[in-house]
Amino acid sequence: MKQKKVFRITLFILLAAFLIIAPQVFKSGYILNALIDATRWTVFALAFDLIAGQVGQVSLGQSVFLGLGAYMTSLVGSRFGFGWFGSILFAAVTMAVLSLFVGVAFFRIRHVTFAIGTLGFAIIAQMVVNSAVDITGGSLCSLGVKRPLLSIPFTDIALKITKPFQYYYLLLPVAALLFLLIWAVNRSRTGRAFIAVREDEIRAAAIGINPLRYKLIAFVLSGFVIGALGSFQAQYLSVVCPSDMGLEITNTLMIMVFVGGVGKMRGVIIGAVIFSVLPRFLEVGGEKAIAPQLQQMVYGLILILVTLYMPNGLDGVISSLEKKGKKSKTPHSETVL
Amino acid sequence: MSFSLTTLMEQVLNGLTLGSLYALVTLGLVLTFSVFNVVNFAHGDLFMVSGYTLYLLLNFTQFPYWFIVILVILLTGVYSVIMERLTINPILDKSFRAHIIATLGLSIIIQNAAVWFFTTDPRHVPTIYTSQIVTLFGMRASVQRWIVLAVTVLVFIALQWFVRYTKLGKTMRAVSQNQTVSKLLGIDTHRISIITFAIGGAITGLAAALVSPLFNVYPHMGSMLTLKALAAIIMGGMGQVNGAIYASFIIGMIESLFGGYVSLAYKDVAAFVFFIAVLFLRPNGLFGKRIGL
Amino acid sequence: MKKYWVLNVLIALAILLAGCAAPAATEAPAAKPTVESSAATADTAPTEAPAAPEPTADLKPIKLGLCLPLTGTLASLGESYVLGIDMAMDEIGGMIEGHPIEIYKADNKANATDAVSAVRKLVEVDEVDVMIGCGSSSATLPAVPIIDELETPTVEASSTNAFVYMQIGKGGNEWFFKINPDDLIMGQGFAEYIAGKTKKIAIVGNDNQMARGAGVVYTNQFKRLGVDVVSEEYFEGSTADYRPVLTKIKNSDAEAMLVFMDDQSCSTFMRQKYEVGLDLPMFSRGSCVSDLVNELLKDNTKIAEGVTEFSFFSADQDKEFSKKFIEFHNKPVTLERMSGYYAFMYTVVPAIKDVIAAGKEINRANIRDAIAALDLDTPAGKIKFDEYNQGYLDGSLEINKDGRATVLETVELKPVDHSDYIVK
Repeated sequence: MKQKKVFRITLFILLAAFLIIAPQVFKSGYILNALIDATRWTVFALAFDLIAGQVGQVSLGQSVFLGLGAYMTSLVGSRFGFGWFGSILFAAVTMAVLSLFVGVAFFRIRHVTFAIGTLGFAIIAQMVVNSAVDITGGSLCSLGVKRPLLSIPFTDIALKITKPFQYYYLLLPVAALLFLLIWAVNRSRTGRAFIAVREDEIRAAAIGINPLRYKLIAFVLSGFVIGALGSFQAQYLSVVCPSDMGLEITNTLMIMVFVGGVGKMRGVIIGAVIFSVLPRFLEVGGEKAIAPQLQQMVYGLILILVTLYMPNGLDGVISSLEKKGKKSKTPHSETVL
Repeated sequence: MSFSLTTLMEQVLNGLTLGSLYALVTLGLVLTFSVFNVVNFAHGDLFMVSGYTLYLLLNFTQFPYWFIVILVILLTGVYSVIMERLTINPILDKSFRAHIIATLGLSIIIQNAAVWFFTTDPRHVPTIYTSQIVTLFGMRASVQRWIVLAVTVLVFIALQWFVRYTKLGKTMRAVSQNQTVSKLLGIDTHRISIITFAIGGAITGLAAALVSPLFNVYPHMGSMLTLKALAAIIMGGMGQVNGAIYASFIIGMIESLFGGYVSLAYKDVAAFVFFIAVLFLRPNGLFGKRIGL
Repeated sequence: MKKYWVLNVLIALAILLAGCAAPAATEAPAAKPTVESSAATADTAPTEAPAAPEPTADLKPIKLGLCLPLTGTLASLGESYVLGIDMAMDEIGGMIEGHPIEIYKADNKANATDAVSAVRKLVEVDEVDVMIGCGSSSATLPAVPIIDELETPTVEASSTNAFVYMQIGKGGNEWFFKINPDDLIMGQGFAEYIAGKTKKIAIVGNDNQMARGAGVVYTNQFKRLGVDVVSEEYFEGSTADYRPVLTKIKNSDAEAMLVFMDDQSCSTFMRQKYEVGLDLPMFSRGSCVSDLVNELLKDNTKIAEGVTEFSFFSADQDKEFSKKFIEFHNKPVTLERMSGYYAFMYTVVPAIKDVIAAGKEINRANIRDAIAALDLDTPAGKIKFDEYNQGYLDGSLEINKDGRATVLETVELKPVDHSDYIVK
């Protein structure tokens, strides 16, 4: 067991070191952009998994918090000069508050109804944003996002962030903080309560865990994290459009989380990295590149095969390989799907 | 704009025809939903494939329209059974999350395959009835639209009779109430599953054959229809066939009145807000029966 | 069951790999200088172009990047561009002055995140010399600053959003060129034309950037001209039932309609307009008078009779192109299909030819300068850019008669003051 811990810590340090020095290795803006996307998607997928995996309710409306977090930055943060970090914090907090209201409303229902209800919520939100042209610019997009200004302490110099590697270093600490937040919560008593709620709400209630309370904690935390990511995205792309909260985003999230291994942080991270980087590889190569429709079809096929053959996703595969290596006879952990 | 009673009448009739369209699409889905409790996100795509089948048959064969309608019904029944065999049946006893993900995957495959084969060009499938206009009850509409309205009512009545009075219908009801107990009683649930999907597919085929001549056929046509059908099913009280039909008409009516009197841009918003309001105020659906599991 | 685990995963991976590898394996070798032709063009393989000289091995290939929506709800737009470019590639035999052309595509999915990635991929990974795109404003707007940063000439030929004008050329981005006129440039003349025919009008449009942008322009113009806008309504692309709004207009005192729609919505809209029995004169700024719409409505030509549209790139302007296009692709001509052809054939190709003729190296900066210096007469109007990198094709006023679009008048378009259309 101890050996495993050492192995894990080494892996973690290596990964962190790689992430920190990556811009020194890769000079290409394309690769850095892919790294930024992979980092954003990883944290996003973990936040989605807080609800889908930890407390076991599939919310199909999480893209709304990303989009509205971005709009908060464009319409409020940038306009009133909150600064880049102030904007992120503001978007995170407002989205957390919104999540609280949405959660209180939607957790009256469960399972399929919850999934379709939140999907309805996402559709409404996107349509309203699209049609409220006077406020959001609608399909003409909201263009007022300012580039982040980083003032260097003890000097008058303010660095305007425009290049991918600068954005990357701006994102990395934020992403790390959000990641640690999710990790800490999942490992705490609260995290164990999440799982109790997921396994059996009635039994959880019987041992003194209030299911609604823990579902709300997960939902609000998820909204907080996603709102922060939305704000970063707005500042990175300097434009916010209704398509930033489209249903395709939810589809991508589902692929990442369920193929990776729902409810398992390791699996979700693997899934998010694969499905944010893989399309970038597949599109390279000019005429030899794979047609995008075919790519999408392969994704669809993967989703079906995962439900049929790998209910615990890639994480389950890794676990079973680990177990095989140890010749242990303990049965596989509970099937999530 | 001044308020006039004739305008209101016309808008109500608009709502009815739109509602009948939704109802016909919903019927195919609610049947499989009620019996096996499977959310099928690929249902609208079945409708789309069926629309393309109609397009191919109308353009490359010389059969009369009524015969093509029958062919489309039969073929869609077959598609539906294939879908059931390959994707739905293997996940029947898994959790609702598996249902959502597998059918979503199926939907992605079908839509992109349609783009692959047919490109994104919209296709029109005109029939002789789309340009013939008839005025009934003070409303001008094409014969095709009146056919949709009439057929919805007929299918609805036929389904009532089927579920209530035939042996097969009664068996399906039994399975819908409790799969495990039905198995214990010696009901072959796999056979029932195939039959249910065949019937559901046939109704979807009928819907596509009658409805798509009013619009165009294109690869993404099914997405919004699936969502509205799901909303109608939940509003109608999870798996209640009648409730889902009434709910479809209510959605059509809301869209028509809201689009006509308030704002066209927000008519879908109005429909979904109503849906969510129903979820909160009457979690058991508009027409009773428990909901939530 | 447990021991089949690995086997199952292997099967899944095998299928995945098969899915990925199959098209890659059947694809032509990288040097083949043609775009992959769509299924419809199988009988007219682009490689069989007769008069073209063989690409000389030692001439440097020219790389063209296409930043377009290839999947998702706007996929048809990207697809249309590609159809136009396919045909142009066939015409020139896949090369310019012996330099083979390599085409790289990137899917921007019509959203900001993918647009930024698509532009970076084309410029930094594929190292293209020139780009065409990005098709829609939701992809173009975020791409503009990236294109500026990466200094790669880019030609856009379909978006009509008036807000782009002040951002390019003198407005900031010297690398971005727009060959088609925007709504503001087209708006004045057409609004005056409509004001001469009616004083009470109802506006209906898709809820997208094209229609919303046009809505802003035309309501302003109508205010100036004293035309009363009775109602202004927009609908989601997925809407299929327009009867409520048609009934509403029928019972209002509007004397005419102005619509901003794409081909697909407009054909359904007009069909239902006919059904409801609303016979107001209909004006259009969009794609209501096009070969595709007429194809979709061919069962009843009365439906679209008399619709008047103001547009650019109409099939009737360039009869030779239209004839060739229908032969080549067996598909009707649309605005976007002409956009792709014109962006390539009348902008990128002549610019590169100019670079070669001047004996300069084919690189991004030289291509940019050559595009900026273009002065061409095409069947659809002039390609000559003003200081805001905006071209002025001809506008065309068309009317639909007996299922055919006929040009009533060709209008020379002129620069318009855009100072009210600045991003705040």
